[in-house]
Amino acid sequence: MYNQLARINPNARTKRWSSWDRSGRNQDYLILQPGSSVVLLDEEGAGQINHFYWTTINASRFIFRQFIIRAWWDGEETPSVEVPIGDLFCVPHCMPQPVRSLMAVVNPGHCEVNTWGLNLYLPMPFSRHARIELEYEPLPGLSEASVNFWYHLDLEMHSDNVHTDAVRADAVRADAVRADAARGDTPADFGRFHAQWRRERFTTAKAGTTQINVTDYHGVNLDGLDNYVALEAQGRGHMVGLHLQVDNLGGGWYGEGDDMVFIDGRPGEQWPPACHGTGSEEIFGGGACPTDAYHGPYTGFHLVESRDFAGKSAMYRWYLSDPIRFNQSLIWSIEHGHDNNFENDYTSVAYWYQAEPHAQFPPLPAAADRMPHLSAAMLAAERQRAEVEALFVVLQREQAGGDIVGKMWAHFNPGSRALLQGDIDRALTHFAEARAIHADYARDTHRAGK
Amino acid sequence: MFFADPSRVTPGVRTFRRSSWDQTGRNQDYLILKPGQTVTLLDEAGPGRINHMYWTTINGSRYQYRQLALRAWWDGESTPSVEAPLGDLFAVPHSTPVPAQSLAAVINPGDSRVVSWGHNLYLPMPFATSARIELTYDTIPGMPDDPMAFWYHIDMEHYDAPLAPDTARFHAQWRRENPTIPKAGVDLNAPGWNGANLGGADNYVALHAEGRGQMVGLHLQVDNLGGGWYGEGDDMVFVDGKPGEQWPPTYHGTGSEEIFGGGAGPNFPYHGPYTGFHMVENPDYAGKSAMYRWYLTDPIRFEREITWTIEHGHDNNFANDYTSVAYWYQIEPHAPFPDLPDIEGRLPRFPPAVREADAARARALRRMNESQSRQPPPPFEVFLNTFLKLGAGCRALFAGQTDEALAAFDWIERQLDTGE
Repeated sequence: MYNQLARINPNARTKRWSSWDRSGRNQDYLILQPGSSVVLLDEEGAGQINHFYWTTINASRFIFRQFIIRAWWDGEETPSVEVPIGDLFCVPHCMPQPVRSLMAVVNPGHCEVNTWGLNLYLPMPFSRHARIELEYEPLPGLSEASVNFWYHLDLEMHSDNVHTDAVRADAVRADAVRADAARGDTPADFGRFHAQWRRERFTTAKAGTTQINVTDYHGVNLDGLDNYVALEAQGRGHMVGLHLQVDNLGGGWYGEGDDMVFIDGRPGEQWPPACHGTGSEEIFGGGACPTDAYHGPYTGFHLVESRDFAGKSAMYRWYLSDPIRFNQSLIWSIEHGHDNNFENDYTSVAYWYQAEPHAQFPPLPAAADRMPHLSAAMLAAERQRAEVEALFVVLQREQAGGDIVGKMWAHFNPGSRALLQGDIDRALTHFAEARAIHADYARDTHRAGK
Repeated sequence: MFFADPSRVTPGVRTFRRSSWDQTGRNQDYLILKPGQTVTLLDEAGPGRINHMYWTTINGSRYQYRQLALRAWWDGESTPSVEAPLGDLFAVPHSTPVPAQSLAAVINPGDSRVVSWGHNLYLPMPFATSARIELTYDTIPGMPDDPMAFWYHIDMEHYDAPLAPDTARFHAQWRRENPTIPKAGVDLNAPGWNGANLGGADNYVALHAEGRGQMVGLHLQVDNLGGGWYGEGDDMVFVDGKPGEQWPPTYHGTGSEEIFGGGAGPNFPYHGPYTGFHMVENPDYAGKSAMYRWYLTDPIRFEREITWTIEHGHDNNFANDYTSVAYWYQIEPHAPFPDLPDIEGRLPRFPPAVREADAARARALRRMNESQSRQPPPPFEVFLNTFLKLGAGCRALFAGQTDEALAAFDWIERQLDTGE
C-alpha cells in the first residue's frame, strides 16, 4: 500500500514555509490585521505541497469564515482554491469538531482554551509556481481584532520537473508525459488541486411543493434541476472530497435528499445521472438518520447539534478509493430534502483535481453573508465578546505579561469558550467580570496618571 | 487501494453507480427483499472496477446479517468468487453490528432510536468483461414472512482500455466450525501451555486457496462457549505448502491477540485502520468476540496455494464456535469453495427467546405495514409512535433484552388493534 515510501526520488527535496520567528525568538506567528492579506507561500519551480497546518488561540469563532485561503498554480489568473479557511479544513459552521480522517485532521489543543490543530494532507502539485494567500476580511462589531496565526506548509521541490513514476509502459501516455516534460510542464496527468466553497443560505423549495420542511416520499424529481449544487467543474479530472454543512432551520429529518452526480452531461440533458444515490446519510456512509456524531478515515457526520436533527449538522466524504472521474464536466448535486422540499442553509466545500484551466468559480460572498446563522441573543453575546477582546488587546499591549493580564484572561478565555458551547449566560457573566477587572485597572491607571 | 497519488488524473475512466434509488423520482429509495428471494444488485459489462459498496436497513431481522448472502461472479465464471453472508463480509460479527473505522470496512452509526447502521466496503473489485452481484435473502424455517427494505450504493468505474493482464480478482470466503473439535487428550477449554502442536493439522482453517495471489484480510469471530481466555491459539499460515507436508509453516504466530495487533488478552473492544477487536461481549472473554486484520501493507503472497489456519486455543484445546471471512485477490480460476451452509448452519448461537422475540418483531412490522395500507391509514402520530416503539424493541432485541423487546412488539400489536 505504501510502496512509494520505499522509492527514493533523487530529484526531490523537502522544504517548508512557516510562521517561525526569523529573529530566533519565540514569536512564531504572524499577526494578522483585519482588512489585510498575507502571502503564506510563494514558490518558483516545480513541486508539491503535501501538508498544511495552522492554529490560533482564542480567536473569535468568525475567523473560520473570515479568513479566506486562495491558491494560484503556475501563474494562473484566477485561484484554484478559494475557500474560507475553517470550511477548507472541515470546520463546520465556525464550530470546530474533532475529525480523524485520511485527508483532514482536527486535533484538540489546551483543554481550557479555544485552540485546535487544523491539518490538510491533500497533495497540491505545481510545475512552475505556487502562491497561497490568506485574506482577513473584518466583521465590524463582531470580529476585527488582530489575530496571531501559526502555520506550516510542508512541500517538496522537484528538480527534474517530472514525476518519474508517471512514465509508464502505456506508450500514448508516456509520449504525452515526454511532450509535457519537453515543454517544462508537470506531466498532463497530474491534475491541479482545487477547492470551491458554495452556499445557498436558504435553499428554495421546489415550486408547487406543499410538503415544505417535512419528510416526504411522494414528490417526483426526475431531472435534478432544483438540487443544491456543490460543484460545477469543466475539464478532465476527478472529485476527491466533499464537506457538507446543513443548518436545518425547518427542523425534522432533512436528509432524504439523494445525491445526483452528472458526469460529462448536465441536469436537464443527462438522465439518469451517472451516480444517483438514495439519501444523504448514505453519502456519508451512515445508518439511517444519524443522531450521534461519528468520524473516520473516509466518512463522518462530525457535527450533529441535536438528536432531533434541528440546527447544525455537518458531514464529510473523501472519495479516495472511488474518485468521481470526469472527462468533460462534473456537476455534483444533492436534493435539499426529498424532491427539494426543505428550505435550509446549505454550505459546502468540494475538493477535486483537474487539468487546468478550471471553469470560473461563483463569486465568494462578502464576510457577512458567509457567517453561520446565530440567534439574536448569541450575536449580542458575540458583540460583548468583541468589546471585551478589544479592551483585553489594549491591556495586553500596555501590561505585557502582568498579573492584571492574567486576571482578565481568566474571564475572557472561559467566556469565549462558553460561547462556543452555547452557554450564553455563563459567557456574559465572565465578560462582565472581565470588564470589571478592566474598569478597576483603567481607574487605577487614570489615578496614577494624575 | 486508496490513491497513492490523488493528484494523478487518468483519461479514459468514467465513474458511475448502481443503487436502489427510486427510478420514478420519488423517495422509495430501497429494494424490498422478500424471504426466499434473490435479487441482482449489479450486472455490468467490463472492463471496470467496483470501488465502494454501501448498504443499510432499518429495524430488520435480528438474523439479517447472516440471512442475506452475497455472491459475486467476475467475467462470466461458473462459481462465484465472493460467497459470504452479507454482514460477515462487511465485518459485522455474529449478526450484531458494532462500530468499525478501518481502511477497508467501515461501520457507522445511524439513528440511535432504531437499529440501522451504515455498512461500507472499500476493497477494489476489478473485472475484465463482466461483473454480477446477487443478494439472497434466506428464509428461517418457522419464522413469519419478513420483507425487508434494503438501501444500497455500488460505486464503480468503467475503463476504455483493458485491464492489465496481471490484475487479480477479488475473493471472499466464509467458513465456520461450530464447535471446533478439540485435539484428543487435551485439557479442555482452559489456557494451555504444555500441549505440543508440531503440524497444525487440527487447526481451524479460514482459507485454502489455489493459484497465484495475495490474502488481504481476515474477519474472525469466536463464540467462546467454554469461557476463559480462548486466545492462546497461534496463527499458522502455510504458503505454497500444506499442513502435514510443510513444517514449520512459512508464517507462525504467537497468539490470537497478536494477529489483531492487541496487547495480551484484550477485554474491551478497539478498532482502527488495520486491526480491531471490535466485539468483546464480556471482559472475562466468555461469549462472543470478533476481530479483523487488513493485510494491506503486508499482503500474504502466494505463488501456488495458501492455507490460513489458527489453533482454537493452544494446541487446539478449545471447543468453540469459530466463524471467519477471508479476503484475497488471485488470478482465476479459484479452487472450489466449501458449500455455504444452509441458514440454520449459519445462524449465530442465540438463546431460544431471541427467535421468539424476532418472530414477534416480524409480526409487529407486518401489522404496521398492513395498517399503513388501509384507507385511510392511521394518523401519522400513531405511525410515528409505533415506528419508534419498533425501534426501541429492536434495540432491546439486539442488546439481548428479549423481555423488553417482546413487550414493545406486543404494545405495537395492541396499539394497532385498538386503532382500527
